[in-house]
Amino acid sequence: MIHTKHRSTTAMVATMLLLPALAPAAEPFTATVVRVKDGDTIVVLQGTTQTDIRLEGIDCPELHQAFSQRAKQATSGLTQGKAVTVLPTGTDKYERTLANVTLPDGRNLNQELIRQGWAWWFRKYSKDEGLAKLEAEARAAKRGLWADLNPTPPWDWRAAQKNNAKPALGDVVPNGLEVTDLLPDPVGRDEGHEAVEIGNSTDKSVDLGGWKLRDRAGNEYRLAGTVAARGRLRIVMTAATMPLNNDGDTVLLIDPAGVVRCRVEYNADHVRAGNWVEFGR
Amino acid sequence: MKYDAKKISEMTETNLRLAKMRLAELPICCGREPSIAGLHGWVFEQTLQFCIREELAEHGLSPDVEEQVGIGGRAKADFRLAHVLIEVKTRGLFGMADVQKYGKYREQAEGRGYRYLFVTASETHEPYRRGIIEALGQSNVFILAQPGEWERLVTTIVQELKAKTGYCP
Repeated sequence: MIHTKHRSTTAMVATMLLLPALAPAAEPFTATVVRVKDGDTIVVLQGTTQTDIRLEGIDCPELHQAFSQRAKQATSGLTQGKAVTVLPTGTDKYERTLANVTLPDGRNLNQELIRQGWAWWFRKYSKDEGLAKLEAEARAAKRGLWADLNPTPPWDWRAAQKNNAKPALGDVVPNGLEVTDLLPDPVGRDEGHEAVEIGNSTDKSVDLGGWKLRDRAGNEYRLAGTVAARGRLRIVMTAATMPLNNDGDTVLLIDPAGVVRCRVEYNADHVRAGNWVEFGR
Repeated sequence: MKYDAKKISEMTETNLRLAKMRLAELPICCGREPSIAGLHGWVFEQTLQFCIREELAEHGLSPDVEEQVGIGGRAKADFRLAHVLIEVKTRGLFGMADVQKYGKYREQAEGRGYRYLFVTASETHEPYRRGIIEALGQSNVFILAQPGEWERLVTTIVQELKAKTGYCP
C-alpha cells in the first residue's frame, strides 16, 4: 500500500494538492481471471498480458492464518475463469494494481468478499464507509471468519510475523485459565499428535468455545471442550493450523473477547521426544 | 449539548464533500476531485475540534488551541485545548501496535503535564477497544458511536479545564 497518515497539516495539504489529484485516472478494462493467489489477490489475463490485481480496500487472512483457505476458495468461486471488469485505483508497494473488480453479474467483488465475511475492511487504507458497513453487518451475522468471535486482523498477523518475537497483543491478564503443559514433539509423527493441556484454577468449569491458542508466528488453533473447575483438559491438536515448533515457541491462550489470559514460552532445550513441556503451575 | 455523534458525522460528511469540491476548483486539479488518504481524517479532526470549542463556549470556556502538538521525539497529538491533548481517530485503531503507541504517547504527555484523551468515531474490533481502554484508562478513551460518549467527552474537558489551577477562560 502506498498511503501513509500525514500528521502535519501542512504536509498533508501539500500532498493533497500535488499527488493524487494530478494522477491520471486509469481506465477500466475487461479481463479473464486466470489465477487466484489468495483471497484478495487475483491474476487477470487481457490479451497476452497478465496483471496481478490486489483488491482495493479489503484485506483477507494470510496464508497459514485461520480462514485463509476459505477466503481463497470464496474468491475462486466468484471469479476463476470468469470475465471481470477491473477498475484500477493505483498500485501498492509490491507494484500490484489496486482495483475494484466487478463480476459478470454486476456485483462488486471487493464488497462481496466483505459481505460474505471472508475479508476485512482495510481500515488503514480505505475510507469507504460502504465497506465499513458491510463488515459490521458480516460481523453481526457471524458470517465467514466472523464465526470466530475475535479473529486476528491480517495486518496484526503480518506484524507478528515480521516481529517474529512478541505476538501483537496486549499484556497478559490472568483469569485462572492457563496453559500448563505442551507436547511439541510426540513420539512418531508430530502433525495431528501435538497436544496442549489447559488448567483451570477457578471454582467454575469453563467452556473453551471461542478460546484459541496463538503462536509466535501468529498461527492460531481454536480450542473446544470444557475444563472442569480446578481441573485440567488435554487436547490433541488434530488440525495442523498451529504447529508447536520443536526448537522453541511462544504460545498465548486467548479468551473469546481477544484478551490474552496466559503466555508460555519454551526453547529447544525443553523439548524431548515424547515428553511434555511443563510450565510449573 | 449542541452536538452529538450523529450531527458530528453529518457535519464531517458535508465538510468532506465541500473540501473535495473546493480542492477540485484549484487550477492544477483541472476539475477532478481528489481522492486522498488522510483527507477524511483531517476533516473529521477539524469538525471534532470545532464542535468541542462550540460546546466549551456554552460553558464560558475558550481555551487556546494548537494543532499537531509535539510531546517528545516524533510523537504528536492532533490538537491541544489549554493543557488537554486530544488524539483523534476516525474509525478506530489501525492495529494492535497502535495500542502500545498511544499508551506510550499518554505517558509522554502526562509527563509534560498534559491530560491525554483519545477520541474515535467508532471502534468495531473488540480487542482494539479493550486494548486502548486498558492502555489509556476508561476515563481517557471516548468512542463516539457509543451512547453518551460525546457528553462524557465534553464533560471531561470542561471539568479538566475548570480544575486546572491558574487557567482563566
